[in-house]
Amino acid sequence: MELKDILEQTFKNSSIPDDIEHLKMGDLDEWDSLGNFNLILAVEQHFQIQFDIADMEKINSVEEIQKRIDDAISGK
Amino acid sequence: MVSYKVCGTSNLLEGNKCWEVLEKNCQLHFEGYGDITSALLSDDDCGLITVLFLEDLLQNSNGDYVTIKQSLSSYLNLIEEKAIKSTRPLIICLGSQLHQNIITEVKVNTERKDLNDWLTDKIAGLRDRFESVFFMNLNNIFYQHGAQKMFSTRNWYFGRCRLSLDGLNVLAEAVSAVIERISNPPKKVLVLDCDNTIWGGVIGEDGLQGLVLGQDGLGQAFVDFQKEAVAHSDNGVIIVLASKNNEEEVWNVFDNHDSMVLKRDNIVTAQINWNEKADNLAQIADDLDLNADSFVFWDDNPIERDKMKMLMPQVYTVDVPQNIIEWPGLLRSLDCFAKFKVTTDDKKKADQYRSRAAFTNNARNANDLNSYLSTLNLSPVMLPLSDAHVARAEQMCLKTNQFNLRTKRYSATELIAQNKEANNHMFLVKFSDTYGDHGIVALVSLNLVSEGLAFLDTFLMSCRVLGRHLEAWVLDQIIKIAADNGMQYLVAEFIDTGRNRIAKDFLTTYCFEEIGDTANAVSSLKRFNNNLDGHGYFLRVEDALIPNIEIYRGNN
Repeated sequence: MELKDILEQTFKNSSIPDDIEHLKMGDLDEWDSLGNFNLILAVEQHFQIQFDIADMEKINSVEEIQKRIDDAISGK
Repeated sequence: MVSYKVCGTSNLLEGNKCWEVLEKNCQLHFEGYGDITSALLSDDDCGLITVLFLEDLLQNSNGDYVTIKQSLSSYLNLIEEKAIKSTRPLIICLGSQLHQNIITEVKVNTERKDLNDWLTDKIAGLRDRFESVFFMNLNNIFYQHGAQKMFSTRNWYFGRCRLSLDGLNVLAEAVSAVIERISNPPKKVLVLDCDNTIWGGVIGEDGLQGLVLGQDGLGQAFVDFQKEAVAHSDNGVIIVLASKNNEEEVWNVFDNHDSMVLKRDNIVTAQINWNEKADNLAQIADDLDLNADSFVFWDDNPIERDKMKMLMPQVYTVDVPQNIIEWPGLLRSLDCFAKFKVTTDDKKKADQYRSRAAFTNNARNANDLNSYLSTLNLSPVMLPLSDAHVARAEQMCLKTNQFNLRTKRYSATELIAQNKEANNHMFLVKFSDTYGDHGIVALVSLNLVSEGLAFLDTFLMSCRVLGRHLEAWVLDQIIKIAADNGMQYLVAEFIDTGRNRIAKDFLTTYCFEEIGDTANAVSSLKRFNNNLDGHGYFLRVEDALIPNIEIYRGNN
């Protein structure tokens, strides 16, 4: 499943643009701090990874999420 | 859709996917996190799900146990006031990470543990006092999954959420199971296959000695499975057998295998033959007068299960694991049978159904129904409408849908008033037979109107005694009253409700003639008929012949 699907499932009432690369917190009504928390948990569950709290605090955009997924998967 | 407000001492992550399981059946409105009182103070008629964590309560009062008990006491008073005002469910969940340190906990209870016990007792007290209050001890629920996995310190520091995503999922599933049972009754019947289900092996091939049942290993698993079935039976679940087998061979195992825990007495009814199981199940539903949607089907054979799912989708077919050793635990924990409370009535219910099934089954097998019925010691007794019985009379008026000629929903007050009128004859019928005491099962209200007409204002009979021709005996009593009062015609009215077809069949079987259809009706009958909403029928009192009355010979 792509990140876009996770965004769609987490923010059910928002229309997610095709190009999500530059999407960030605040761009969607539902992507507020609570939405961000739900999004992070959904990403963790899907990719079977755990962010530490310092990482979580930095995550506020698709770009940040993608970077951390890539890091986690490549084992950094 | 039912609405629930959701509040908690910490963040419950509104909008999280975990809540979808609940949102299928109810609408959730989340309060701001930490706000556990607004929902209790508001007047709107919503249910309430409130999630309390001891840690949060302690944090809010800086660990001062005296202050915290005081503030919790006022909080519990709010819950109590809400429970008095509203009948909507109040679901209170309490959780905590009690464990602090092995050494400090082995000799004494910590203050934290004491506070947890105190709060647990208080909430349990409210639950006991109010039907609408439900108490979920999250620690017991989390225990099975491991508390470490359920709580998340990281989530707490990041966003004031005590739970991990797993913990939230477990919480939402558990609340959802409770809400499901609040709105829907539990299943009533467990249908069991025999071969490779209640014992290992095939009785027709392996014989009594060859069955895997008892002793160690798999044989013990089958015994334990039977024990769980008996435990359900003790709680009022009706156990029936549906097996493709020779009937004698199955009963031979029940009677002669030492390791059988299920006894013949536990089995309310059985269909052991080579017919399609769905047909057998329909037959059983008919015998028990229950809907198939209250049935649970347990069969080791995936083909039988698939057929059942296809032919009777309303039956809950359990997807049983391949590995038998998982069966006892699964059967024990099936949500579909779980009740909030097991009452003594639940246990009696199984007996009632057993006698009903035995009656229907024996009657079907008896060659001559009436000669069979004559052996049942059918004992009807006429009772006047006294204070002691008026509640039952009202209940029957409200609940009887099938054998009910006019389906007039009289209240107790209306019945008492009617009974006082000089031209009214009202009576109840109490009934017993060899299958048990059925209590008060019929109500008749007969009005003696002018010109020799006796009008059957009410004639209803509870469906639990149908099939015994009790209507013949009751009609005989009615005719006697009419004759004693010099009446010439008994007039009945059939008002079609779509569910009382059986009452119309009664009129036809017992030789009533439809007033509008016959030249035999005298003018007084025709005039009376014009004032009826439904269909008028009559019977001549003088020469009324009552079919089936011979089975009540010797009674009066």
